[in-house]
Amino acid sequence: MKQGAERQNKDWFFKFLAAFFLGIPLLLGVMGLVGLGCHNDGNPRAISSQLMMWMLSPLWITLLGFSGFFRSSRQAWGILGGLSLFAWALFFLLRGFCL
Amino acid sequence: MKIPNMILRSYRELHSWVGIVAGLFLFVAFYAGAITMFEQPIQDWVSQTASLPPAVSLHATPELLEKTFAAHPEARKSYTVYLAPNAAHPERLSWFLPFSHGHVGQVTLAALDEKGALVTAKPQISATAHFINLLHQQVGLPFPHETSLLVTGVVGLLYGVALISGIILFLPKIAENLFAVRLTTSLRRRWLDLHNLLGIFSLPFHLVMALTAVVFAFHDPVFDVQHALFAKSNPPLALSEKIRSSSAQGRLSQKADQTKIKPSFALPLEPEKIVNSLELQAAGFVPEMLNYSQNKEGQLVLRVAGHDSRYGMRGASRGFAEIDPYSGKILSSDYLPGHQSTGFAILTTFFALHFGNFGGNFVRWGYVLLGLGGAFLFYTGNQLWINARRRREIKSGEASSATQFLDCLTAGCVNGCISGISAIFCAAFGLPHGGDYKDITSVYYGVFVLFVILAFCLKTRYRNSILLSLSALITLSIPVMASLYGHKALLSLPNITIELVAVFLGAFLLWAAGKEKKFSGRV
Repeated sequence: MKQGAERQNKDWFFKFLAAFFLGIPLLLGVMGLVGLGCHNDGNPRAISSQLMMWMLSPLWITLLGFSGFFRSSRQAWGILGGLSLFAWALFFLLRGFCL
Repeated sequence: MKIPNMILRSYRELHSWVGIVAGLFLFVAFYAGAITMFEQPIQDWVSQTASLPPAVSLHATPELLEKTFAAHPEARKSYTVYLAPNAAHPERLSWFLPFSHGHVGQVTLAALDEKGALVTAKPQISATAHFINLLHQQVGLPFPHETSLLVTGVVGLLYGVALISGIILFLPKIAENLFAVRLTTSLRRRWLDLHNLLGIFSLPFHLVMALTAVVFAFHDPVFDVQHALFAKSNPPLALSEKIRSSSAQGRLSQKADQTKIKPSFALPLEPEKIVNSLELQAAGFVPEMLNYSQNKEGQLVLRVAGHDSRYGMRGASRGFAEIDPYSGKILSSDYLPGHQSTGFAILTTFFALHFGNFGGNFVRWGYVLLGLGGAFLFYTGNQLWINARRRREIKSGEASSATQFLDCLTAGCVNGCISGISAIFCAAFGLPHGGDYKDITSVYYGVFVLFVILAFCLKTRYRNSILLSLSALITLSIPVMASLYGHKALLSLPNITIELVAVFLGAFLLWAAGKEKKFSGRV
């Protein structure tokens, strides 16, 4: 039991790394879906482009800040990786339909 | 709210870790940022005022423009008419010539003497204020701007995580700890109470700074990703339209196209009429300058910069309006304070909250205090970590090199940053033209590195008191240098304010040095 607690305690760093590195593809994937939803055309001066950019930083910080609540680092990598793959698969699928 | 103890413990480690990694970068960013709140007055203070004849009236400006264009046809490409010349900026007109080989461009000022002949002057602008702004943006790093910004972004993320983990740690004991400042008990308690007090009561400010800093830093890469993701998702029919609209001028030139700019032989409206027409369309907006430039198609584009004290602004101290130079009609009010669509108004709020430009000088001074308070918060965080480790080490009898290293690094970086900035203020009066960017950079980093080396060489007992005294000495020489070599009126408001701030800061550093001497060795 005590050994488990010890391992759990050192685990926060890998949970944090998961949120940091998988946060990038996950949030960019989410941005992709939102962008398709509001018919963004990649013009940086458009209001939707700018709002999407502003959306990323609070989401990423929240994800990093609450990464400690994952049960284990393995769970963190699994969930975030799965969600990233799902977001990107959905993005390419939807973009294919749009084209 | 009940958070399991195990998670709380891991959050304590996370909080220390992100704090230690980001703390010193954040100290520099906040200290330099607080000074950047008054970038323009500081730049005027250290720069020499150009000697020009008094500015022509706004009514007579067309004559000045005509004579300037006759003598310097290249001025047509990019010129600015100033609507309110003052003692520090006596010019009515300036033009900008970008150097082709990637260097900074050169500004030329123009005026008319009593006989109506053209007089030009090149202003000698000190790089001090701009350097401090870049130091703030690059969290004190000397690398190329894009590289440094990536580090700034990561530091901003860690800073956000430090805030969230700090709240999670503080929440369970909020009732008993909120107003407690136990100055008398142990040194560690005192630092902890100060740290909590500062952190909780400036939390909204810190959340805003963390969120905006990350956006500012990752701005360009994110737009690149957006372009890659969405630019081709349009139906091919709209392709030509899209390429045009995403070019440099974007939406504005598209809008301008729709209103059909008159052929180039038409004369633009006189500046006076532009101002009058703007007053009718946007009452309350105080225009400060008219920036004329040519877009890619060679058409004249006019951007008016100004302020409106009732609203926050998109730029650090100004909002903008795109105007048809031939009719004076507003083409785009996306960045015009008080005339924005809801979406752009929301975005501008974020910028305004970062820049503190929404309530005149009162809010600016508030931001200076919050910024300095933030810098102190990071310093107390480092002190806490060092003191806690040292206590444990004294108990167990083993000294660790990590504690020693961070102690030296903290003292060196904090004092190096304060002294480096004070040193460039002093040097600006001795260097030619108030110091160009290269000179200012070498002075700052020279002093900074010297302090870090000193911190590692000095004995623990004297380290803090000696470094703080040195910082105080350099800071106190700012008013001395300004009085001896300054070219500005001694009794002008900016001069008095800057000197008073320097004296106050110097006195505080001396006081801290005395305190450190008394407390050194206690944990």
